[in-house]
Amino acid sequence: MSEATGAGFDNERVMAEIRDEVARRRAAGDFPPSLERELDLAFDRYVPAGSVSSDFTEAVKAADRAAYINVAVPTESEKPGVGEVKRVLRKAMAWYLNYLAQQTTAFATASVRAMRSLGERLEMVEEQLAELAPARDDAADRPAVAPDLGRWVGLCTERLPSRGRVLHAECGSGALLRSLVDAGVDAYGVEPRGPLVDAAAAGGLEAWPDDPVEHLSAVAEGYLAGLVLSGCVDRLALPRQRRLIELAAAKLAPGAPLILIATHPAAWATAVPPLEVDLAPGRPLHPTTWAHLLGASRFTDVAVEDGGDTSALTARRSG
Amino acid sequence: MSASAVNQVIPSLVRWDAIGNHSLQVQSLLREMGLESEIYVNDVGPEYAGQAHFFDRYRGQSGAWLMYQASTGSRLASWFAQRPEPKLVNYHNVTPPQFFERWEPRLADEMVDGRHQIAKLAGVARHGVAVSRYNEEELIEFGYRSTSTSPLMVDMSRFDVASDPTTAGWLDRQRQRGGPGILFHGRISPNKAQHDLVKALVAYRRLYDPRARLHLTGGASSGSYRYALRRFIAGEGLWDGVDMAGPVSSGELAAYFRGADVYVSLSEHEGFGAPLLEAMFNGLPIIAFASSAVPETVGDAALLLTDKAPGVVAAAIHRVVSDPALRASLVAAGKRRLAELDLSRTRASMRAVLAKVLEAGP
Repeated sequence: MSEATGAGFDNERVMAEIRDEVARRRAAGDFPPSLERELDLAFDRYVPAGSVSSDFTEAVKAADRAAYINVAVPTESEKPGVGEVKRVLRKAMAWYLNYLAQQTTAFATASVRAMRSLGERLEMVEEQLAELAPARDDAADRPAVAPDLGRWVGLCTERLPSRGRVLHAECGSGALLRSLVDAGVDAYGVEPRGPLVDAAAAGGLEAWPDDPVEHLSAVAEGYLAGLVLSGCVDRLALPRQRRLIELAAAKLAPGAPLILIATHPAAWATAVPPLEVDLAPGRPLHPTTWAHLLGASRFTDVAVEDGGDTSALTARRSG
Repeated sequence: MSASAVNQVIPSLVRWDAIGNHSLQVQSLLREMGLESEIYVNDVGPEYAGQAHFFDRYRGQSGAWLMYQASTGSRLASWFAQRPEPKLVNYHNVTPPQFFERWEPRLADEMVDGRHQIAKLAGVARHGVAVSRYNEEELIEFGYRSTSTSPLMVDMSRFDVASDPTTAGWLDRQRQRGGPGILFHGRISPNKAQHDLVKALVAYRRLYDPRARLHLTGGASSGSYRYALRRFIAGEGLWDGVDMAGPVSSGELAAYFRGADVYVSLSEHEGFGAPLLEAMFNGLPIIAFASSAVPETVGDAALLLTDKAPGVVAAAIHRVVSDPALRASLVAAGKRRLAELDLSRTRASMRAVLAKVLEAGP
């Protein structure tokens, strides 16, 4: 309990106690992250569709803007009396102009709606195509040298905050996640492969069977105090990788760290013939490419740590 | 001082609008300084019909300055920019369009236009005075070379009205059923994030007390957002827990403030946040998400959140309603903050700004 004082209270201390209480209730299963996610999803169902930013969207928005026919003609005038005349004329012609404008607006609005619908269907097709791209099979397409995340434990515990929720996606069987939790980080993980997430959960870790992109889509904006990405960053097709970075920028709190652990292309190429490497859609990106993508997506202080087979990119969500 | 008059230009002067009331305070202050001052509008509510003139009636006068009260996109901005008089801009902030893009594309476009208009005025205005430091930083980003901050002028005596007895009685009956009453006052609008309050209520009911109630007062800026909010509330089975009161009279609003246990704002964008002062006035402890100008408006008179995950907000509400000492500290801090933002002080601050700018001459 706080002490009532004339000098006020310590916001930082009270909030720390509140965060401890939340962590305790979460750990007790009273209010699991899945419920918060369900709440986000429940509200998102009612958000109007068609709000992604792209040139097409901008064009539709412009058309939408132009679809409304305004019959309220400006009537002001510098000349004495002319404004009054204009106002009388506008009022007298309103019945006629309104009739025409309503029909024109209805037609234009219907056209814009059709365009929006077309755009949404096109976007759906694009997403399906990205999914259908020959993604690498987990077992067969793993790098010849399995990524050793253990080498990045020190980096992660040094960069990640001890307050606020930190997500590791994909967390695999939870080795890195375990190290983070042991180091006092309020971390949880997601992992799409059932057996691995089961192993992590069996070890007492908070790990959820989920796809990283889907999970991040459902997380509230600015919710995460830190994010570690691994595995998925190698496996996903390019459009999904970019989507992943966009989501990371949206869901991290301002100033929160992102650590991206990616397989170095050279390590992957050792096990795969060069031709396949060049044509493969899931080819690991070069750290410089990741750095560019992060820099273009509201991340600052991007730095690359070379670890041989893997590289860790550290960045900070701009404030 | 070479100026003989400072006339204000404001897109809309309507009842219960904080910016309209601020403009009336500016007018009385200017007259107190011995200057002539009239208000020119594009739209005026019937209650102010005698106190403002339509802008197309404006006739220039020698030695006059113009001051634009900027809070939204308006054709008045273009008219103002083209006038030959020396100009001041009093900036209250225009909501960033991204909050409305998904909900009201047309409104979002108006906001884009509004922000462009404010930016364009940087080239013609002698000075930009903002109602918060947060807003002043935006003016500087827009390219204003001379800026200052002077808080919104709020006449707190306007909050001192009798509670509407019917509303007060209904709220009292609600209270007797148990569970805390949570209040937020503001337009139903995506940037005010009422949906996050509903999520927090779900968490609170599950974690602490299923009888908790959320009262949302204020009209809607976005019909589609309000519709989504209603469907969300229904989908979560919260019809008995969320009261979307809509626009309310001053007496009804007083009843809501006096009948609540805690005021919670999860708004993501406020240029100032006048309802926070009304909560302080009514002795309500405040929990607020630390966004935009909210931290500087509340000072140390709110439990400031940097994370609005439903579980965190629920725990914060529980802490405030169950910890009498913390509650007392927040209420006392609110009273101190109100004294700092007292009308006499904010008027003195604005007077100093105006005197300095007008003294420097056109």
